[in-house]
Amino acid sequence: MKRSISDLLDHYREDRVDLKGDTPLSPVRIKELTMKHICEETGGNRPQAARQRKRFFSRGLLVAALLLSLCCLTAFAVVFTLRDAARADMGVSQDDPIREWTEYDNPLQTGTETAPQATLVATMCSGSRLYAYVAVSPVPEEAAAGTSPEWEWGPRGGLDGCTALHLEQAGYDPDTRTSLVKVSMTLEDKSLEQVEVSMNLCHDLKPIAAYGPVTVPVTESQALTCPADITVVNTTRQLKEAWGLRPDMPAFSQYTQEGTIDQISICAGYIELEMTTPTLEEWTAVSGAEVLLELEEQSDTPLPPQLEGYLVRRMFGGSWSVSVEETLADARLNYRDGTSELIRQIPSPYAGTWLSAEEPYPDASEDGIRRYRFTPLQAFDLSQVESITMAGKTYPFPQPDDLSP
Amino acid sequence: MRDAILLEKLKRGDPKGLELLMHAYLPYVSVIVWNILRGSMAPEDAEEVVSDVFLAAWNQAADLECGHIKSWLGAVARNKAKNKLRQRGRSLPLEEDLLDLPGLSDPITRLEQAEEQELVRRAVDALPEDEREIFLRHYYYTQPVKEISLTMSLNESTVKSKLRRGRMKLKEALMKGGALE
Repeated sequence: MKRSISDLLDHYREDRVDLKGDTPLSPVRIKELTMKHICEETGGNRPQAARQRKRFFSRGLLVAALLLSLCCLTAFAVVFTLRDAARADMGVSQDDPIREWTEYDNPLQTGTETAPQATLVATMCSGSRLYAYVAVSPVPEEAAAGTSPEWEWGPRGGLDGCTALHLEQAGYDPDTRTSLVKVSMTLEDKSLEQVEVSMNLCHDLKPIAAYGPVTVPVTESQALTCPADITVVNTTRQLKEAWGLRPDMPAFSQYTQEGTIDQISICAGYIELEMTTPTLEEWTAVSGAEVLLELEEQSDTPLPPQLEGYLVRRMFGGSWSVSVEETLADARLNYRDGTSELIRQIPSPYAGTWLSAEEPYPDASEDGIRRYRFTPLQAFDLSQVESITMAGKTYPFPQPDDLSP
Repeated sequence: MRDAILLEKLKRGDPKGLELLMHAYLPYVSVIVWNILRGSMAPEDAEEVVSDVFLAAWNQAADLECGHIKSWLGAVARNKAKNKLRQRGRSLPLEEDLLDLPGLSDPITRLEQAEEQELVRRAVDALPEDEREIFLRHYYYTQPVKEISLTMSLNESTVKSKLRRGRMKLKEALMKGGALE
């Protein structure tokens, strides 16, 4: 009997060989092909909970529309297909977009190496979060393929009244070499009416092309707010968990304290909680965390005055964050169609669910005033949101129509 | 950590998980498929096969386990590329792929097949590290001898000699295992 060695290895599993090599295969085409097949086979998603199905169905169809329509190209056609990609990225319905979503009918200018172009395609403005989708060209295909971490987008220059948190590619048209770049910003100055955005394309951390500036209007948004009364418990256990794997954990005191989540708000871009806790001073006194000041003094590196006590503050914040995550582990968002979602399972760009949000004033947390925020990857549709369930109690939101000015 | 994150998204049906999977493993899968199909098919055909591999990952996300994603993708990529080759009536570009196993018959029952797979696994895992790598690069990943010699900084005759030793040990393991039946 003769047997093929290659066939004998068909059931062998291996992952130790560091296999590398060049191929003539196009990563961009492979990705497009894969997304196209997914949309054709399943409509964009596998069976999921009803709400998630709606969220990804829209995205899948819009991605398919983008891919199929990439065959015919005019300046407006490219903007139109990139607009589809922007909607797909933010999970916005084509037929009934949310009020916080705005699209711009700017004609796309195809850029050249000496005259790169940037055009605003769409924005999503919600509370202190502003997302801008900008079409930029020319962008080399290898940069747009997304297969190499050597290529990345970054802000160029500062943004007055605003922090550019993150830039990433949300789409690419290879025929016109146009990228759709998503710029995620936090508005520090809430009175801003517009923001000027410029960006760099970087290779190996060096800027190689600059695009913009593009004027991004800040548009109206709304939030639904309801009072709450959720007790959050903080003990030595949460403090130790916040300490984590750092060496030489000091001996903290056994303590128990309580905080309260007083208010819950939801807007298209995030869910925000307002909470009161004991002050930093009160917490330090019961937890024995003042021992951390001795650790700071023992450090080889002298601390500047403004950083003194940083470890105590860090453990104060960290332990309450652990408490909040634990208390809200089963928090659910409930929709008018009768479905609901576990908030920790809603896709988010961040690791962790409830992250510290901007304070109402500097060092408010030391006074026992905290804010936490959950940010989804795609926008909430406030017209569909009915209530939120936290710590076993359901809090209904007011109807969006009730908040008309 | 990266695999855990992308797997969680993939299993939830989040397209971002598939994006992350492709970002991490597309070059690896592309090399496997192209090693098998080059010389027989155009790059566009190979791109279809690579796409099919990730489509399989999307549809069978429930089968993926953390820590075994790469090996799953590698196995699926090999099988799909080899099937494509067979459909076109072509054979693998391998040296001395056939093992002569006199006195043994093809495993028919599932039990016999499972036993043979176990014998193969043990024989390959028992090879010294450098021999195993050369053996797998050629017979698992279909990498040509010349490329292996350049990648591992060995001369071709050394690579061929180690392949020969690997074949002998695999044959010995299968003959011994077959004789015990």
